[in-house]
Amino acid sequence: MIAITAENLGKRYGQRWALRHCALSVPAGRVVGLVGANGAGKTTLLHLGVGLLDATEGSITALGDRPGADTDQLARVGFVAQDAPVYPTLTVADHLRLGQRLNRHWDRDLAAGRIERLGLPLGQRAGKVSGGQRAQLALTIAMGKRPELLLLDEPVSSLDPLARREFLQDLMEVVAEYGPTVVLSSHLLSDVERVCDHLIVLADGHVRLDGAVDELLSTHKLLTGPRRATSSLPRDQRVIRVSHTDRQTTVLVHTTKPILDPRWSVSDIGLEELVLAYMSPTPRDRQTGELAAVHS
Amino acid sequence: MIEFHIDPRSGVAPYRQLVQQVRQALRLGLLREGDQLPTVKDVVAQVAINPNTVLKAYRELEHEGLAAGRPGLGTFVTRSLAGSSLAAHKGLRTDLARWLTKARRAGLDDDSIAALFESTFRDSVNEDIA
Amino acid sequence: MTWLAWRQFRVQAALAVASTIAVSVVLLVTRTHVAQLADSDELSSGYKSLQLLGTALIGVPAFIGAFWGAPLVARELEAGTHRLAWTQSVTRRRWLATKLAIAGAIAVVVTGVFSLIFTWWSLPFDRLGNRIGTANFGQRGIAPIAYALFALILGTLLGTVIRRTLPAMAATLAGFFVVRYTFQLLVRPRVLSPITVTRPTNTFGEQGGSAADGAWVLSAKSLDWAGRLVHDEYSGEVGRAMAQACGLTMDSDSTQADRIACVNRLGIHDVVTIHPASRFWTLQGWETASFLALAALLAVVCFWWVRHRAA
Repeated sequence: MIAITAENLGKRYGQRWALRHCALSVPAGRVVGLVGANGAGKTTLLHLGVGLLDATEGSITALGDRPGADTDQLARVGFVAQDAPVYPTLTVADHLRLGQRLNRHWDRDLAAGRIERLGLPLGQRAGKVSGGQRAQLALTIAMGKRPELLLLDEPVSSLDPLARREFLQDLMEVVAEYGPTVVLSSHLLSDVERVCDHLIVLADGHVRLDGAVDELLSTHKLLTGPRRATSSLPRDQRVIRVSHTDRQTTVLVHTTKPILDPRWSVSDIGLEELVLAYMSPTPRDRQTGELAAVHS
Repeated sequence: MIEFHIDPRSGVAPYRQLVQQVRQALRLGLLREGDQLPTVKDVVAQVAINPNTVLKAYRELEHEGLAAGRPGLGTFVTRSLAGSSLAAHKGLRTDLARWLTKARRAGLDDDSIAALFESTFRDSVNEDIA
Repeated sequence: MTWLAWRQFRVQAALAVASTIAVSVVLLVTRTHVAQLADSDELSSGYKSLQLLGTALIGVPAFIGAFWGAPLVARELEAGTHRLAWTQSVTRRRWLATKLAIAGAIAVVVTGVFSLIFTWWSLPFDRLGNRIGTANFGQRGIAPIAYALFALILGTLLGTVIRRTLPAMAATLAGFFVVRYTFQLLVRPRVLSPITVTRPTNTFGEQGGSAADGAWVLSAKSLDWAGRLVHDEYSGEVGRAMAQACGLTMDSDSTQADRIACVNRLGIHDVVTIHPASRFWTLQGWETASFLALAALLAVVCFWWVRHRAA
């Protein structure tokens, strides 16, 4: 089952395209890391996925339906916006009641239990709790309806390391419990590496990478060897990034076949390096105007 | 109950780290035959990693015959390693000493020897999986 | 959703209900005293408190528009809480409809009670003055209810479009008064055809007398027996105009008798176009229906905007 699909998805604000020609296919049950520079389009993509925005061109579906289409669809998708907005004058307990009243299926025990375990004071106004507690409150409300799909926009970026770790622990516990699909946008590649098994990289409003982490790591290789042109590489070894010194050439390739040329020494690449390579356009990309994109 | 930790910088895949930690616990007698391994939910709640990583590790342990899952109950240790002490592998030890001598005679320094061992070992591990 | 809408609105609702009760109590308690006063010379002091409450009633719809309507959506857009509210299981249409329904219901009740009690309270004064004229019409009857609903929706729409509470409040106040007074100036007089009435000039120096029959005077002029214009309401004091025509002066040299004689000799009479007092409720009905129709139109736009543009 596919949790999210996008086809030629584009969103324009005035003259500027925040997203363009985006294609996605996210299998259900994955924990997806959505990575990209500020302004790359992560928030726009998440807002499109949850029905807060309408696409300018193309389409996106969440759990097979148009996002925000009706009450049924809304009930299956949970969302926490950036900075975890809550109603400052409503108490924590009020927010739990909000979750119950505004949602058809609400797991009261799960939500209340979580709040108690986290030690969030029920009578405290939500405007007065700390940033970490607010993020946990927002996550509780999103989780309380037991959504099949959970979209989180940089949920941990304003949290201290301890709060961040607790947030991820809780999130993983929920995933282990009933297997929702989670899409988590983040700047912190260390977190992405820990919890995500699927990766989407956005750059300049385009999808550069969309695939399972295991597969991406096994199909990308770093080749180093004596300086020469990359045109010597066979066609099925797609060059993602290349850099030369006077003596040496380093190439990042995407390939499903083994590298047979003995002049290259082949090594694996770590997730962080892979993401960084896709986040920035290479000189070659700028020349052809074509952006390297890998979907797997 | 065993407690896991992940070192993101070790160069070893997380699931393998879990496997290694179980084996180490078995070796030291901290885990014994019949003990229950923590549930996937408990592990991820403690370590904040993807549940699939834990599942992969537990499957690997099953594959190695060290653990078995009982539906509805959990994953349990089926074998202990405490008996296999290093002394029992005298033959391997001698072979290793001989190889080290050869390596030193070939001119490799300590770091090179360690690097050679690491990369060959990792290759063999990856081959096992493949 | 009803729970949330109530929870968010409860302070405003409580204040509104409390003030309405307070005002109603004051009006009910003073009514008999005022009714006695109305016939006596102490009328003027009674009138002062009348003005005060009447002004409040003018302000109530504007207040509702700016303080209830403008923040209804704008506050959420400003704070980002719409991203929480619109991603539960409630559609935006239901969310907006519920919030508007709660605020609208309280607005109707509060404004309705205030206006109707005030209309009843003012009856002794209105018998002597008029309530159909522009000074009082908007503070009587059921029209204020329609003003309040219109202002509420106007405020909500402006808040949705402008996305920030304070500018939306300012725009709502401005917009409300512009519409309200444009309607009063241009539309209300034409809703029914005015009646033209001829009557004698009451007193030398007073234009058509005070509208003793309680009518809304739209225009007035004084003509002589030949139909020539002696004076219309824009050309300045009637007294001076008539003095000119009669060759009299305005000072104490000429007596009242002289002036009356002059008026009779020249056949000076007033021609006024009016809506008579009997038309009060008809005009109220038209006013109410028009503002409700405007409110409905704005509501359609508002729902569309929230659904398609707001996020």
